[in-house]
Amino acid sequence: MKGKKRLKMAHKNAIAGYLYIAPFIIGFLFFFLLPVIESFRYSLSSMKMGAGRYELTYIGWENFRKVLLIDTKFNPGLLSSLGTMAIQVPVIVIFSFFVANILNQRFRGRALARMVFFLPVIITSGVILKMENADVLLQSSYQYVSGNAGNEMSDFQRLFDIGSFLQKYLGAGGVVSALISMATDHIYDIAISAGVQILIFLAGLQSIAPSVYEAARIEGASGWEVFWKITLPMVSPLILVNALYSVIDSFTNASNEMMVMINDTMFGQVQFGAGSAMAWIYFLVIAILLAAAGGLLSRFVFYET
Amino acid sequence: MKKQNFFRKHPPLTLMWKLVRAVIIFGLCFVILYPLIRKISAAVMDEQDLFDSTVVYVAKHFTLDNFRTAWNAMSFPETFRNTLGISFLCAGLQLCACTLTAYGFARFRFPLRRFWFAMVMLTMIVPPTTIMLPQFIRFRYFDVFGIIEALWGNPLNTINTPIPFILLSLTANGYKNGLYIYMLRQFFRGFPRELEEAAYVDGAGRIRTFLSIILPGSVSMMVTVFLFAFVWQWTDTFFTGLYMNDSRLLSNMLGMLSYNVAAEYGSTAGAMSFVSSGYLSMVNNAGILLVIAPLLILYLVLQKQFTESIARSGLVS
Repeated sequence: MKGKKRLKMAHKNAIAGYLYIAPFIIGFLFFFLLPVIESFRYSLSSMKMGAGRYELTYIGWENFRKVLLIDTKFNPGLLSSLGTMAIQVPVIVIFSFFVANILNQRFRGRALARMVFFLPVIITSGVILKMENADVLLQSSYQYVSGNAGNEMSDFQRLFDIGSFLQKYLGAGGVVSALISMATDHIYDIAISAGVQILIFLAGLQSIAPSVYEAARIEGASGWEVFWKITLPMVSPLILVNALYSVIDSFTNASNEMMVMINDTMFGQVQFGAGSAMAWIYFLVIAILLAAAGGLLSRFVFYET
Repeated sequence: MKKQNFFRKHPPLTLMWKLVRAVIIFGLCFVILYPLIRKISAAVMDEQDLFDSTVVYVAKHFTLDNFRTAWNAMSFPETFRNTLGISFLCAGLQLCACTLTAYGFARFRFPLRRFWFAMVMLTMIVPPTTIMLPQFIRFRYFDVFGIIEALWGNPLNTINTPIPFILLSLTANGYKNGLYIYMLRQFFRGFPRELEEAAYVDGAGRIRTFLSIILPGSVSMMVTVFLFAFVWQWTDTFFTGLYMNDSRLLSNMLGMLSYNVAAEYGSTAGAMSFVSSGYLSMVNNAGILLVIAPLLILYLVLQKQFTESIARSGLVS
């Protein structure tokens, strides 16, 4: 009797659950899954826009072959955007974790500092970012703060030229010095793309029960030990989340080199088949990379039971 | 907190850390704010200030002409109204759809739940470029199982209408909606179950419980999601360029601003006239400020809920 009732309850729950996520399922099927399948079909076809509608002719893997073996821009572009991503993501994750830790401490003006750190999420997105990248006056001002101008260095830059400082005293090369000099050279880019990550870390830090810290203090743990033995393991699931989010954000950003190239191939050169093939290769590379990163990082993640 | 406890035993270190922290915070805030300050300073300059080497930040010939030019070239009042309408509608619909979906994932056990959540993540991973062409064609020749074609003879062209945005928002498939679903789901998971159970015991149904317990308890998180959705719709160029390319929306008009100003200048001052890139850049800066001013105001208004949502979201569950 009791078992039957529970079964009925579970049944009801299942129906209610599906009702709640119904909007997503409908949208997923019609505006996501179908387009994905169609896009795959386009990538295997040569496509022409006719008078009324488009015409598809099946040509097999020809588009993929063209993109991978003949196109001179695709492979270098893909590699360079992978390279940028590989350096940027760790820096963004470390930076956002560091900033979240600072913003989680108590100090005067904390509310103001938090507001400023989340400001880029609000005002530096989409068209604004695009305009900033194209603007003459602003470009020179970024070079002033970020130092990717190259030749002439301002005093301001020389003050922060940590890259060559490290090279001088630690010797050239090395992953750490590469990451740090990348961080200082592109501090503005990193600060503006770390907003959501800081938000997620900050929320995670605030959800750690104060009693855990208290217990550690009573046991005599130092701040250093508390950080490595409590804070870091407790937020480690979020390191995974943020790493994956940063990878996705860097790849699907409208200003990403590959996104621009695919967009241009499809609409600029009107090569729908080749563009779709590019998009598919790009997606598969992202998927493999995410799976690898997820698999690697999840070994270090600690889950509270 | 833990740092405080640690340093309470070591006062000199506390002082040093406070100093270092202040420098770091101030420095990073400067880096973030500098471009904004630069934009404001450039936007109020007269053209001759650009070529005056004694002028760096503060204009000698203060003027609001750049704002006037940008205002007119973007047809600001009309464009602003259109953008406000679209952004408000999209953000509102996305918020509703994502909240429902996220609540379903957080509170109900149903078969294939993990599969469907993986699908939510998948919508984030697939780059928009992969599905943009089929989506464009779908909305260009829009039809529901051939009904529209049967009634009117040909499918509906929904490009340059808000319909694509409305449909995508309504079904939680808009820009970054996977992220919103994730954030809201984590929030709901951390929401105390006892409150809902108490409501059930008192005889409230599922819908009643959702409306009177869950929604009021999650205002701060919903404000954050709304803010994100609003802002990203406001400045979006990718989907706006795809679905509403010819419409007077701020992101379109801002992208076209310098082109329009140069064309206007050429037609009034004669074909031989020359517009300096510095001048266009000043107008662009004024235009950018006009576009982000409403966002700044919105951010300041919603700021309290926004920071509260961070404090209460409990993303680790």
